Amino acid sequence: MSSARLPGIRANVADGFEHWQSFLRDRPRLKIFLIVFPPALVLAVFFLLPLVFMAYLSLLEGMPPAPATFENYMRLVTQEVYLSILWRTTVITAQATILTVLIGYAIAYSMVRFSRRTTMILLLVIMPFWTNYIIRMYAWINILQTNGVLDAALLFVGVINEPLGVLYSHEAVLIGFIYIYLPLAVLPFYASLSYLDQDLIDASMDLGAGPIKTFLSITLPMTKNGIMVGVILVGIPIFGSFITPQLLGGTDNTMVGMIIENQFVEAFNWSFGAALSITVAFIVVAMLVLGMLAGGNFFDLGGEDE
Amino acid sequence: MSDITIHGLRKEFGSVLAVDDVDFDITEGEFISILGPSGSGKSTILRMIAGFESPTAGEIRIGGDDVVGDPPFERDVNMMFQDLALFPHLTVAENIAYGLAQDGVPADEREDRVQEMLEIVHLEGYDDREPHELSGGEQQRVALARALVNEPKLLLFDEPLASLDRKLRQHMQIELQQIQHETGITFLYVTHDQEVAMAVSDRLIVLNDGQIEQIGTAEELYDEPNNSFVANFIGDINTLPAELERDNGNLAIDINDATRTVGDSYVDPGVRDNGHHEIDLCIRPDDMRIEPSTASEANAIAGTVRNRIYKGGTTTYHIDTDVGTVTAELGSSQFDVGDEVGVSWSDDAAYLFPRRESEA
Repeated sequence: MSSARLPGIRANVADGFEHWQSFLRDRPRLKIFLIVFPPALVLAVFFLLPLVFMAYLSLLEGMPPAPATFENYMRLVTQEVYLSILWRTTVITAQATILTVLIGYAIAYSMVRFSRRTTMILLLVIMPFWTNYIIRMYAWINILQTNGVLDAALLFVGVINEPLGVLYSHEAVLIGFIYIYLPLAVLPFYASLSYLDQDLIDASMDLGAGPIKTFLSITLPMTKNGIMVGVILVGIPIFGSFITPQLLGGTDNTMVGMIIENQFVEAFNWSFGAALSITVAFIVVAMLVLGMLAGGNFFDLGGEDE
Repeated sequence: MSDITIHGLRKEFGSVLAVDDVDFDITEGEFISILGPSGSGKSTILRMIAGFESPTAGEIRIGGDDVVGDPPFERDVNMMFQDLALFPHLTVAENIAYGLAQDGVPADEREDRVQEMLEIVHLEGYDDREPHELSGGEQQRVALARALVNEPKLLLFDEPLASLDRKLRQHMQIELQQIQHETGITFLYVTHDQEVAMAVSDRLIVLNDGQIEQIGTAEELYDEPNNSFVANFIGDINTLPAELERDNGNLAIDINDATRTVGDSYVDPGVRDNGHHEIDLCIRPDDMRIEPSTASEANAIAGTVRNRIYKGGTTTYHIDTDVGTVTAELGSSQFDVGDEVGVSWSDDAAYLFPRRESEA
């Protein structure tokens, strides 16, 4: 009996499934809605809503409920200290991004072109990610501080006579940023370089271009998109970061992320912190748009018709 | 003196011998093909001439100078790649002008020569297209134009037509030949497709296991193959295992226990006197004769028609015999599947070679 019933149930389930399939096939709009709605809901709740709340907060005099005001933004643009911090943040971001991209490209290039142990190097690049960010920063404090590991090593070799004490300097912040964000640059560079067909390099050489010309006219333009992805992945988090400059930079290297953190955690001026956050977000989006306008369509891999 | 001389060229990859002391000459303006199965080392030879691989030993002389050790960008040799390797981020005109720009040709002259090339490959007006917008055949032409434009001493082809369908391939073959005549540039073409190679080349080099089996015109290779490999590779051929014996001073060939007595002069001295006992007897399908078994010759091989393929002018029969399946191509289609027949051939149609282990 039961063995006779089971196939019947299975057939019913299959029928129901087929029924649903044809039901959806006839309703393409409903199908698209069902596919798009869940992720859209997640984005709205966890991304859009907080952003809207942030914007709302930035327009209040204090903790809600409070009267609306533009005072927070006025304070930001009229007080020179905040503008100079934004400027310094931009400069540090630019320097750290350029250095990270240069070093990352060199590493990715050697991984693809010369190394037979690519997996090993890739692993070494990714491995630091498995250790906590803060712990790695404290490791750098140990290395960079006066009479720390770096000074001891350099003194021992005899390159310097007095300890350098790199910690709490502009350079220390750059070193920290490069160290933290290098993997984020190496991975997209590695991906786009390994997609590059070796025959294109050979063809360029065959047609008379030396290694440098080939690099400039084939390798670099062909990996342009990977480079842009790397710049974005590295530049954006650096612009908003606060732990690295706080731990390695000391008081002279304040970045805007530190001010925001300070407003929320210590000054309890959430409205001003929110105004700073919205400003930073706006600057980042503006830079992305400007970059796209200036460099053409970074995200296009095929090369469309003009 | 030859314009391009390859002497003692050898390439080892670790313990694998890819190219084994290869020698050949190419005359200026010649269209020469290297023909061989995959893995025979033909692409390695090409890549060594282009400069992408360095030989383990040997000389590559182009116009008298040994270029071994020179990087690819200093060699007056261009290559048309198997996957074409068009630069996807450049337009058709920029692709073609690439080599000229490297040679320092001024921009306006570059423009003229690109136009000239586009005309030769019948792609007028395609200047601003991008490679991905072109059909397979058009991409081939762009790659050809790019390789031709700076007039190299030697143009190398690494099976660039392999990806095209049969019709387009045949069309491109004819065009390649015309373009070669027009430009007078020496072509070295590598392929495993004997049909293409025989159609376009002045001479062919048959390569197997890194060694040259034979060099000659298509006719020479077809009519006078050096060995059973060449006989098999150039055109179809039946290979029958046979034994060579001396019986009371007479030379005899044993096939399937039937003995044919032949004169000493029938067998090539190289095969006859080197003590080769086991030989391959090779006959082209169109040299085969089929008779009804009742009327067959005394030393015919008995067999059964397995299938027949009507091809219009001719009919191809596959006949099962005790020495394997024999292919015969006849002008008539009088036999049917299942017919008992006798297969024979005239003695002067057969090639005798020392037996060698068959290769895949």
